[in-house]
Amino acid sequence: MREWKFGMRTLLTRAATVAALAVAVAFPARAAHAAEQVVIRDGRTPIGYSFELEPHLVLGTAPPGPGYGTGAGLGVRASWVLSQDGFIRGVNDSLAIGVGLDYGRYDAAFGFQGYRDQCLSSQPGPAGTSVCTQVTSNGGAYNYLFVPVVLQWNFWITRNFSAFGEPGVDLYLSQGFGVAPALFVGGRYQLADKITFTLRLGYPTLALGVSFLL
Amino acid sequence: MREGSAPVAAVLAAIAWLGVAGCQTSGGSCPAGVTCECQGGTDCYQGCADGDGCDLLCHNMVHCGGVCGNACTLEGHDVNDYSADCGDNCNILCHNTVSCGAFCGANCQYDCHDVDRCGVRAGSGSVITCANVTTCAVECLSNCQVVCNDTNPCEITCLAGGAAVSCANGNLGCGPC
Repeated sequence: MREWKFGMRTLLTRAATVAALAVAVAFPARAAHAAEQVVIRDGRTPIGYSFELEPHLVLGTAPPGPGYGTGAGLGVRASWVLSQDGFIRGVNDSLAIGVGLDYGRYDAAFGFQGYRDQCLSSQPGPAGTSVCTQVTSNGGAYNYLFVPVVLQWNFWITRNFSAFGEPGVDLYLSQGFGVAPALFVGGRYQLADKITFTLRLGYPTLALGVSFLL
Repeated sequence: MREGSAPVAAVLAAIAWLGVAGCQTSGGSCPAGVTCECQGGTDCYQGCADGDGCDLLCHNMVHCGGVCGNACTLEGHDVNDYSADCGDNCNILCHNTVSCGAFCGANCQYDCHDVDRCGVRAGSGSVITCANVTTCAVECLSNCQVVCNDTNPCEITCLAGGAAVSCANGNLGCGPC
């Protein structure tokens, strides 16, 4: 168990270093300063909020279900802090439950793997056949409404930067209802007191927004 | 502009561009007068951007089909299920599939061969040919003819009323031979 914790600690320290490098790329003028602050804190530092509201832009490709292509839209994520202490002793992590609402409009013409028109409606024909009577045009456009429900595991790495992982599920509505697995990783960069720039990568969507830590 | 905000602005601009671009439409994937081919993969259903006069071809996949207006040519082969929905004066070929299903209007020429099931609903003046087909079922909206070779059963239903007739040349038909 002790070895596992040590291993996790080492892993987190490496992850923090990678995160710092990412910050250095995105914010080069502050790179040196940010790198100096990278530390997995030994003690507990109160995270100072109980609710996070994050409006964001949504970007996605290869959506689950019947859709094709690449899309963009808007959304919001609400996260409630479940515990100020995460799973790892001695690491400044915390847990939250996140629920979101994301709208994305996907266009098959902007898919990475080309596109194909889809049959929109069929009718029974003679001899037990099925005849498609309506198709999309140019691969079609698809509207998606996502409702992600995730466990947010936060790592408060520096004063200005935190990272998180979010496993969960994504309920979606697009020509029918479906459920897809969801997995995100992301980071927050502090813009002002209790306001952060937040980037989330993963599946089925990417998000770029601003978090208000209330 | 604050230090460090330029990359954020660039990302936002890129996303905004993508959103605008995603709303654009073009003239359609299959214009008239050009063979539009779809092959491989699982499903492909083709439409005709110009409405009439398209040449749609799909093959070597699981399900495929075409939807077109008048004066179109549609072909499907080496698929499980091929589907065609066409207006008047269409020429449709389906072969080497499990099933071929079609709706077509007047003066439809439908050729179905080496297929398990062919089911066609056709308009006035249409000629449907089934060769080496296990089941060929044709519904005629008006007068039409069905040519069956090595096909059993070869069924014809006259939706306008009246019984199907056997013509002197061996064809089945609705209305006069």
